[in-house]
Amino acid sequence: MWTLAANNIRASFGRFLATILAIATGVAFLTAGSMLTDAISRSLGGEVDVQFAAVDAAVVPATSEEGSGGFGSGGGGGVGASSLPDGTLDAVESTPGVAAAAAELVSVTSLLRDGERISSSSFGGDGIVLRAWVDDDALNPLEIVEGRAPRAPGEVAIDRTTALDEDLGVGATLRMSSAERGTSAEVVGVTAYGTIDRIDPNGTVSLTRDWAASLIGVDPGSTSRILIRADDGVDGGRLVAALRESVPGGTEVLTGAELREEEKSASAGFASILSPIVTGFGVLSLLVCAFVISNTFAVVIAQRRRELALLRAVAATPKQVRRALLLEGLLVGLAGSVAGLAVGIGLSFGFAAILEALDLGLPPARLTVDPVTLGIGLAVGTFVTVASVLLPAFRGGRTAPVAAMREAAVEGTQVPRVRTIASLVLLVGGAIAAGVGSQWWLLVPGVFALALGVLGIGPAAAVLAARAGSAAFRHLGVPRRLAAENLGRHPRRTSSTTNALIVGLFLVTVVTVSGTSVKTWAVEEINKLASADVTIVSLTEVPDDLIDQIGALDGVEEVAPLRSVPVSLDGQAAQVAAVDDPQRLARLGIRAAEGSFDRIGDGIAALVIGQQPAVLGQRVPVVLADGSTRELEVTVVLEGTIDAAFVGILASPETVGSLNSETPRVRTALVGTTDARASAIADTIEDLAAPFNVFVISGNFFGQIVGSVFDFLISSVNALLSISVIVALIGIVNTLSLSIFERRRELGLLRAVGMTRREVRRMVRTESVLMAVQGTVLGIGAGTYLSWALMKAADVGGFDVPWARVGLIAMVGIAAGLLASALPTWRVTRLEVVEAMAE
Amino acid sequence: MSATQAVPTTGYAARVYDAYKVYGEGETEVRALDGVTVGFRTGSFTAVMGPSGSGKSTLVQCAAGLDHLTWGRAFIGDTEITTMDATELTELRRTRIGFVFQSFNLLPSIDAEANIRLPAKLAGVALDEDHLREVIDTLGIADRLGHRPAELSGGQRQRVAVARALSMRPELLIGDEPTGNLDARSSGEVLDHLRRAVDTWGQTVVIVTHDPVAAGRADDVVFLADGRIVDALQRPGTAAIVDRLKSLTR
Repeated sequence: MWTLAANNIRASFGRFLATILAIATGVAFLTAGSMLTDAISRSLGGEVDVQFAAVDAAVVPATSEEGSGGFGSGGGGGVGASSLPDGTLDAVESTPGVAAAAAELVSVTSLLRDGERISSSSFGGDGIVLRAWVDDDALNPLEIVEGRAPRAPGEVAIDRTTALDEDLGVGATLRMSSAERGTSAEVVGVTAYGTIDRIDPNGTVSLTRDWAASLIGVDPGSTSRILIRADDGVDGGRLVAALRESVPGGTEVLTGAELREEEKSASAGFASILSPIVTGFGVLSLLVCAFVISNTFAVVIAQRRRELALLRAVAATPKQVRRALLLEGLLVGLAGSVAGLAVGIGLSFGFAAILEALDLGLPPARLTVDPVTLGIGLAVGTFVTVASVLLPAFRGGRTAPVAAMREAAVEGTQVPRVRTIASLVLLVGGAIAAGVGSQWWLLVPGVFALALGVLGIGPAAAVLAARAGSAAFRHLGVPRRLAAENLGRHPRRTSSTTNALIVGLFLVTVVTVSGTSVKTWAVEEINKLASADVTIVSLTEVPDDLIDQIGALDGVEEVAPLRSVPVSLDGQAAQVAAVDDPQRLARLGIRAAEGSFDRIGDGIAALVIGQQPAVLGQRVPVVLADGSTRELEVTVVLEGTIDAAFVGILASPETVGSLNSETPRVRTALVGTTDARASAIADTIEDLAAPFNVFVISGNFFGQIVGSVFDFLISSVNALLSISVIVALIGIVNTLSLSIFERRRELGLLRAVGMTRREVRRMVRTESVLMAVQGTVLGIGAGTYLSWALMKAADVGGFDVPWARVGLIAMVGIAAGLLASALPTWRVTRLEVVEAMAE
Repeated sequence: MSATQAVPTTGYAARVYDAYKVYGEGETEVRALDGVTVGFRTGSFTAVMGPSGSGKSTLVQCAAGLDHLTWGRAFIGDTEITTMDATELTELRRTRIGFVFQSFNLLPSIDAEANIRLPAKLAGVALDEDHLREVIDTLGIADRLGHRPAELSGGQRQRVAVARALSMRPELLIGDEPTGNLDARSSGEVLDHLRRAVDTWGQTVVIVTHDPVAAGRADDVVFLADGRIVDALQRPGTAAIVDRLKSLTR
């Protein structure tokens, strides 16, 4: 059996090569995906373990649930975490067993050059993270690689990437945005984070603690997280217990290990996006591969029909033949998977190199070849191959021995009746279910039924297409008409070929059409929500100076500054702002949906609390600066606009005053403009605001972001999917080649009675294109219908079909047909008349 | 199971009773066999002849268990094969029946010796090596054993096929136009070997042929037309065969 199988593979190697390529592609992407994400998370995690190794305990603001998480720089202690209550640091330092404590202070600023903001961020945006320099070397995750640490106001250290990108070495001067229209500083040192250049993807600028605090506008003692190192010989657990005794309320004590876990999960963000994408693509490739493999094997088996019949006649039982064929599949699957693993490893190194070149601040992905990953890739690739080969192998096993005796009729010239009827039922039923159903239990089965129906109806469709084509081409010459008729000769074979193309184009269409419709709807909805034309936010303060300037601009109708104080809500920093002019706020998009501002009393108004929508009457515990907790009742629920989401929590001026003894500061300002000049004014405001530590957000900002995110997603998914179309091409080439081989006598006859070589080529090319057209029409048709059904079920209003893109997809499908015909056409012309007609 | 020759109690190596093989239905119905009853005596050499479409191939296929009858019964020796399934038929064929086809006889991807040993290998049965050596020597292919079919002449290929057919010492040897593609000399050689199989080793040989010269080497000649047996001659000469054939096609 083994020798037979091996010999057979060697004999049909050309055919199998395509199959091996297909498997290799799928396995390669799967492997590369796993390897890369493992490497990245390991590297990032590795950095954390090294750089935060000395941390034995940490004190963070209390949360009611686990992990207040969030993206952003360096995790739990970063921007967005609120301050620890006053006195926490003193309490920590006076706890016995504490060798050193590092009080972190983190904020955001921007670097300026010539009055403009420069951006060294890997992800866009122009903010750079501002960190207070930690004196204790062991606890400081950063290290100085050039120069020295900042020791006085006016001195800064910057991360190595920013230093290189912006040409800011030791001794250079830079300007940072701040309340005083920019502040100058001298670069005294360059920092790194272990083996990589930055701890924050946006870059880091380090200042002395006092200076940082004054620039941010907080008390010098203010801190968002304290890292603690134990004395030699003091047990970590004991230290944590001791700390728990001494720290004030509203805080939480973590062990060193817990702190490191938090840091790791925060920085894993990027890697966790990459993984599903690349892996998902690997899975998709393998799915399309399954079709192509099945088709290729069916072709190979059909070509070897006489041999199989002979085997069956003189020696082998159906089971033995089946086993031999499955064995071939297994060997091909193994070969393809091994090839895929090799390519996958190469791909990972390639991807890693690209990531480094993109300079995303990720550590050099330390790629290791993990036997588990390899094992999985091998297993999956082989499994998919064997599964795809099952049906053809079974059929092959049932080859009738009689076929050995004469040139018997080749299988599958009939349209399988049962299958067609069943498919028709599934197709229509599925279409109706999907179209009518807005409930998921109707929609999902409907989709499956529809998909199965489309794939199953292939043979009938082929015959129909053949008849239609034949009639249509009646006056277009004999070659074309013959081509159309040939389509219907082996309906099963034609349809299994076109199915691979259908799957690919179907998916591309669904993604494109649904994606575009959703994008249009989403952008529209978001644009409806935004009412203030420009919003100005700051983590520190929006200077009155700037507000006056903006107010004075031509085209600005009004400006509403909101003065607020910081509190801690569930471990995160929150602002409570004073409502002094409800009318003005209403004009700028802040309106009460439930309750009213007149009767806000000593409660609060909000749209969301934490991650949940605010509920009237909800009691919200907030932690104040002194560590005490106060419960505030939601007496007003805001109308759902984007501005309402920005402003956070509102309260009466009296309530605000009672929450915090410090003077409320403007952290948000809403600007309303006359419609006509909205975007021009937004630009002007941005220029004005550049030197200040504020961020300007235009009303349709979100709309634009959402729009571009969708575009990016759709384009990248399509790019990936198009590879599946290429794989489907291979299927067409296979089928055509077999068809030509089987018809060689017929082709010889045609040539003998007068068809020229060119006409024969035209015939073959037309066949290929017709198959592609069948696949394209069904794939795009089904895809569009499904998109419509999905949109209807999701109830997202307008169904926006990007006709240009759909047209492009159709052209790609047909071009695929033309391309696929190249090799078979070349082969066919090499057939000499006499040879073709001899046995 | 040992590959010894079993002498059926009935004296027939293969027989069919009231055999019908019908394709299609209604107006497009084709009766390849239209009620045939025939037996092939053990130790005889039978030729089955007839014009194309007469059903001669169909008869031999069904009698040898390569295909199923629509109605009727078939036996190999004492074993009824009428209702056997594909696996049972295969197991029976590969140890008890040898086949030589007109053209496509050997698997192209393995050499001559491997081809000869194929049925035994797949049946998991040991061959009688002495007998095999004798067969190979008699057929004159000992020096061609390591060659692939593509490297052999038409006559050599047929002889390898005969060797394979005889390797398991079958009760019955079936040939479907075994000399159809051969030139006169090779043809004669193959027929000699078949004759020898009957005379020296007591095989039963049944061949389908349209060649009167080939049929002339047989002990019995059976004539078919339109799916029925129309005549049977014993030890006819070539001339008699030609005459009979001519009358069939009138």
